[in-house]
Amino acid sequence: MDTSKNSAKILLVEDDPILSKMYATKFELEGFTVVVAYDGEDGLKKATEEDYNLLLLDLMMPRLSGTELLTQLRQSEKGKTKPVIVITNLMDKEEQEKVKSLGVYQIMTKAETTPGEIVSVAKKALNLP
Amino acid sequence: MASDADNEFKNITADLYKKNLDLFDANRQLTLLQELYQIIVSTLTMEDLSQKFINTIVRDLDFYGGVVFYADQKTDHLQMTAVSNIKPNSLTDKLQQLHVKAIPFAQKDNAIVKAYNTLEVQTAHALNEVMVPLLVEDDIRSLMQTEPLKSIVIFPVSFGTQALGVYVLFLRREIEELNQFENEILRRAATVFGVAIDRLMIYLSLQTANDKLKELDARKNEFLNMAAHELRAPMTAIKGYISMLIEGDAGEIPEKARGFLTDAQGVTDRLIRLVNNMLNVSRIEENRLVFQIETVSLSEVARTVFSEFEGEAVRKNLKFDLQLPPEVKDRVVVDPDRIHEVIANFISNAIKYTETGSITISLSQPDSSSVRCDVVDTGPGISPEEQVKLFQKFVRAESAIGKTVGTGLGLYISKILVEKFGGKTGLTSEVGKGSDFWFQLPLEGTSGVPKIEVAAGAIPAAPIAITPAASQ
Repeated sequence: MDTSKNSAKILLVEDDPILSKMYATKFELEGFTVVVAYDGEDGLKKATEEDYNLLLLDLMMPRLSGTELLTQLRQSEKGKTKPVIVITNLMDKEEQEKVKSLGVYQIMTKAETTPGEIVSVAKKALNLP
Repeated sequence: MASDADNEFKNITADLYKKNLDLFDANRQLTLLQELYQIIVSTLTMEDLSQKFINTIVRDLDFYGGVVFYADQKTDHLQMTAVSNIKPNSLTDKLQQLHVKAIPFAQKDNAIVKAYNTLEVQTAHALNEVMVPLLVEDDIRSLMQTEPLKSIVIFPVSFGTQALGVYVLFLRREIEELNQFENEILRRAATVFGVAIDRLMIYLSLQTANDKLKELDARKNEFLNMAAHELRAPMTAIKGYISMLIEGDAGEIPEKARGFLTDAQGVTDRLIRLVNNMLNVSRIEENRLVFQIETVSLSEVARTVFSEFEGEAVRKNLKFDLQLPPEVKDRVVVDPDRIHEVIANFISNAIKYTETGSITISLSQPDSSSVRCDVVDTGPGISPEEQVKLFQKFVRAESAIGKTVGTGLGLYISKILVEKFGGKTGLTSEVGKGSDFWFQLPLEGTSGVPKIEVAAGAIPAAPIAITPAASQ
């Protein structure tokens, strides 16, 4: 566990309150600053307005799906090159293709991944030690 | 004498002439029956069957026109399913244009209903005897004036004793003028038609049953999908929090608590595997499973799975062994998570069913183009009869073991997954001695590696330029 602050800020878009609390806790413990959005619409608003270094994005969400959020984000000046890690539990072929074509750092299956592993991938994406 | 011989010659000639005519009629009958047979074997709807049937009769035997009625038991009506359309005339045109094409069974004075009810051939001379209530009186009168119609004959169509409908023929001659052969042909045609309808009904009911089964199966898969997804969210949280506790995120924990948590972690992983199997079986069957194809070292995958199960095996006091000879070539082109799943399914089964002894996981090189992974246990073994069934869906080795746990999906899915990656699975086992579950995969760069469609993965992890750690 690394409790020293790092300067990186994560935007976490995840509708399940328990999971978002868990991921936020883990990232904060690892020294990240975390902003949470609980649905796709709020996520897109924060993703285009707030400052952050990496987007941690769930796909199956109310109001606006993660895939749709990502599509719109990639069209904005700010979100064009933002590193994104997709965390999901269910994805079909078409969605996977779509998400990949929009450019993501990695797609991770939530049920097969621990929060610690997601943090490791995020650190790698941000070139953090 | 000469005239006697002459007479005899004349008689023989007349006889021959008659026989020749008989032969001609018999030939016509055969030809017609053959045509009807062709219709039966090539027709799959009631309308199509009726149309082809009535057209064949009207054309081959030169009738003015004809109609087919089918008895609809649901509505208690004789439903018109076809009007001959090869020799259109004002009568057949009129019948085709009718809006209501059904005669109620209750219309007992109608000769068509009578033929259906009595299963006896009916005859009529006027349209009102058969066309009430389909045609109004004015229509009937004007048709009778313009049409050269002399008689109407109605043949019941049945299968065994069950009345199925009728067919109606319009004639420009008197019924008595139909010769013995024509009568015979028409009766036989009715019989053949009855068989055809019966066969069609069986086909249609089978098709309905089949459609219903398909729909049920799709709904079952949809439910499994939904259930599996709903289960995954809480499992993610349990797995996540346990891992955080073990990693010390809530502070230092006593060694004993760490042991408990490691157990809980193992059980959660098993639960996730079960749910994955449930989820994947429907996705594989619907060809919707997403693969992330990479070239990996099978040894590394085996090592990872091995370490995940070490705790469980040790707790059962089993000797747990991993043999990875360094000379074995092991680069395979697969979705690593799915091959991980296959090995985990094999090891999980081995641990589940083995009470004493050992479990050994090993890699070997059966030939220069493939690598094989064996999971050998000293469990109860599986009888040859059960071995045959074991890789099928929902089959569990029950008799030999006496316990039935799991979903019976693991081996079925493992087999399908390995085959997707160009490999094969197998089993050798002997009751009382143990089992050897194995799979074999083609090595990278060999001809056995299947081309899995691009949609299945093989896209680099970061396909567009992403500026890492760009602080904004």
